[in-house]
Amino acid sequence: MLRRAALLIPVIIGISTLTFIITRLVPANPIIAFLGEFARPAQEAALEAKWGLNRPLYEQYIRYMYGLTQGDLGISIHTQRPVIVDLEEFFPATVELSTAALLISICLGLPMGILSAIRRNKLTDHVARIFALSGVSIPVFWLGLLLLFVVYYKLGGPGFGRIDPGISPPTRITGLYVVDSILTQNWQALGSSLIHLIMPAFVLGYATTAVISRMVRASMLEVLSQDYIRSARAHGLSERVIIYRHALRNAMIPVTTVIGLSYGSLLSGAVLTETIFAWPGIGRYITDAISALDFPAVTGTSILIAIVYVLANLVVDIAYAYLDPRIRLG
Amino acid sequence: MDPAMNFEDLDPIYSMYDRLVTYVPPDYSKVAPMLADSWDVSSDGLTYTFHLHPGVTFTGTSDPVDAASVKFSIERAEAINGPPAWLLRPDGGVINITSIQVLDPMTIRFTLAAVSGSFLPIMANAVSSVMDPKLIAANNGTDFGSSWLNDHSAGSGPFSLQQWIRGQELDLVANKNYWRGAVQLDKVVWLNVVEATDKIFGIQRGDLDVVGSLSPDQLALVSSIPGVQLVKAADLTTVYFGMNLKAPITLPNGSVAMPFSDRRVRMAVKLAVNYTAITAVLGQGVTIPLGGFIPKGMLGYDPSLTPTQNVAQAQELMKEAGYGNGFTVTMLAEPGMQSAGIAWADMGLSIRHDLAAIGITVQVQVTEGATLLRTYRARQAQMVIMNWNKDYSDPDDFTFPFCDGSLSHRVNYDNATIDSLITQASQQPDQAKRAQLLIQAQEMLTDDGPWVILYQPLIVTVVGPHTQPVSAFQNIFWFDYWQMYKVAQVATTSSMAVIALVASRRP
Repeated sequence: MLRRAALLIPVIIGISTLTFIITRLVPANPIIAFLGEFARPAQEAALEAKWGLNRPLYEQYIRYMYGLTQGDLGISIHTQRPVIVDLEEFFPATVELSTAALLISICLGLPMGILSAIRRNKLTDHVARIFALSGVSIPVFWLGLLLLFVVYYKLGGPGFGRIDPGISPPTRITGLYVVDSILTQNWQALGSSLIHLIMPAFVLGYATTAVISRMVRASMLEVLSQDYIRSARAHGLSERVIIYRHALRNAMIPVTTVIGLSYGSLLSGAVLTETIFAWPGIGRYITDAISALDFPAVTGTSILIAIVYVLANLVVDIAYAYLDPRIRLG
Repeated sequence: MDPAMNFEDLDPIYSMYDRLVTYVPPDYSKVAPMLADSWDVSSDGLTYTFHLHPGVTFTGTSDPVDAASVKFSIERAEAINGPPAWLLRPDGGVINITSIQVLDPMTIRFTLAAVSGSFLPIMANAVSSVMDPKLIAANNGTDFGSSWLNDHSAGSGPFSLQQWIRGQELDLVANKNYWRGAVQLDKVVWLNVVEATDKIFGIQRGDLDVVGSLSPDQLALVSSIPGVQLVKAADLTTVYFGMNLKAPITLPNGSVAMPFSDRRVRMAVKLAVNYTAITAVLGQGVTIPLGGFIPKGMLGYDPSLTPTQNVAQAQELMKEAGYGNGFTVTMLAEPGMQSAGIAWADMGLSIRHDLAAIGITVQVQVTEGATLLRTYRARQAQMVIMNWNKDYSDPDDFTFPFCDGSLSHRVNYDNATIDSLITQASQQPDQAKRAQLLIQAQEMLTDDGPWVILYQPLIVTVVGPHTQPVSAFQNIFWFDYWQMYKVAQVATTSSMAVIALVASRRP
């Protein structure tokens, strides 16, 4: 367990070194990006010195890595705040969206997969298969715009944004609007943020829903054909007990991997969904940062995403051990 | 949200802070009183003495807006040396202020090193916003209060900052005791909405009151919504393409030459372009034809300079110059929607078609902004489509770059006669004489220079049925939320959409 956690260190060093090099290789100047193209040379030189960009690359790298050990990700060029403060503000929006997306995917994908497996090649299975196929083939932006048109424009439902413009967000505790609304008992904000969450979360989670349902189906079919299930049936156990107690738990092992990895990619890959639904998460933050040549913000966000991936993997490994006692964490 | 740090998305700053003087749209060639009731200019044009409006206080404190606060604010902006500081800084700035003297609490005197027509327009600019010195001092920190100002305001304007949720929304709340008169709106809310579909649905549904930054196609779509108005204002922006005089170009016979160093080739290119196709087809309803580099609305604008196409004459000039067999040139253009929502890549193709008639093969190379700028600045671009957008409303902001400064240097153009003309114009206190000099400089540049002026974009703001008066949206520097009643929602830049809410819709 500790050894797994220690893996984080080389990953962070690797990712920060890579992004540091890549951002420095970009043939453009962040000083011009910030000051505008009309700034005077003296002004540019002053800023270059202030941000340390006039120093040799290795020195900039050492300074950055030293800062990293102190939990300092540098100052964002674009927002003029510490990157860590920006991430604290933008990351919860993405966490909220991705978690909701994942919950929707699990709640839809799991039963759909089980049903498909036990009613193999029947109508339910076909419907689920069509759903899954469309889930992986429909682009997120298209589905997002379509739903906005139908739900928001035609039916008058909730639209873009995290909350209605007229409603003040809940007092910040975690940065997750739904959680903060409950903690502060702000029911108006809770209602508004919940209904604003559903559509983008569904859009973001659609592809994952499809993948989970197919994975559950395949995995269930494999487990259901094994000897111990036949023995269980021979013992006269009810189909319900066989499926939910004996089959599903074993079938969940590969599914857990998919869920864990999906959560990582949902957290880092919400750029399009965030743009379409005007959702102020790290996807939007990093795209703004890239176009502003905001090196510290790009590097900081990349590190965060790397950490999320490693942690998601760690959680998956722990879940394995729970699902299958034969697997022990090394 | 610090006036000394921001050079883009200035709309909120203009609403939170007052300045000594203000612009009067749509004629940006003069300024009007704001915090200064009146001002005297010395006969040599070097000294400006402003008489402040008595009894004005900063929002939320009872601190007086006095001469000391004006001095503090300008000197603070100089000291911070942020993105807009080049307008003010004595070391190579646009205006060279040698001293700021507080004569008495209500009188302040600025002394300049040289006469400058840009002084008053820059005093009307956001960088010259007057701030509360006491409030800033109390929250000074290590950066002159700059980071504190991202979540607070320290002005005397019609609104003050309520909250800024980064990347999401920015809320201004009305200053109910605004000294110039009652503020009708309770609140102005900017939503960070970039997706055009959200903007269009939002205004149709009435959730957004004002929307901007839509392309001509999208505007055509919104214009059919009942009650929605499209408010158009000519932006002080010149869209052009430049020809690099010293760009080495390989000719069909294999030799290398610098064709654009020949005036006849430059003239041929100008005559070959179909300007009507650009303004009437690509930029239908969102552009106006422009010939000189000074746009409409600014001192020195001359409508008679509007160019016309003459392909036969252009072909003749190419032959005369010895380039009858033509050559191939690369034109750099930024990707995406640019001024007036036109894709410059499309415009490049239109120009490519026109120049083919005189034997010039244009290869349009769509290049990301920062990379394009680097090539352009290094004087290595052969041809570039670009715009020049106002920083403040004085023609000096256009004359120097186009004739003798950042832009002309990038295409290796220099003309001593024109340089002397624009310097005279800059120091001419008589506006009519100044305009004459500016027109003369533009005529000479049209006849000789490296620029093909393509169009002047209109800023089109989509205003929902509940927001009045729509004239408040004709200001191209900021929207006058102060005079608005009912509701407003705006996207003044590509990255911002705004709404203002009425009382009935507040939580």
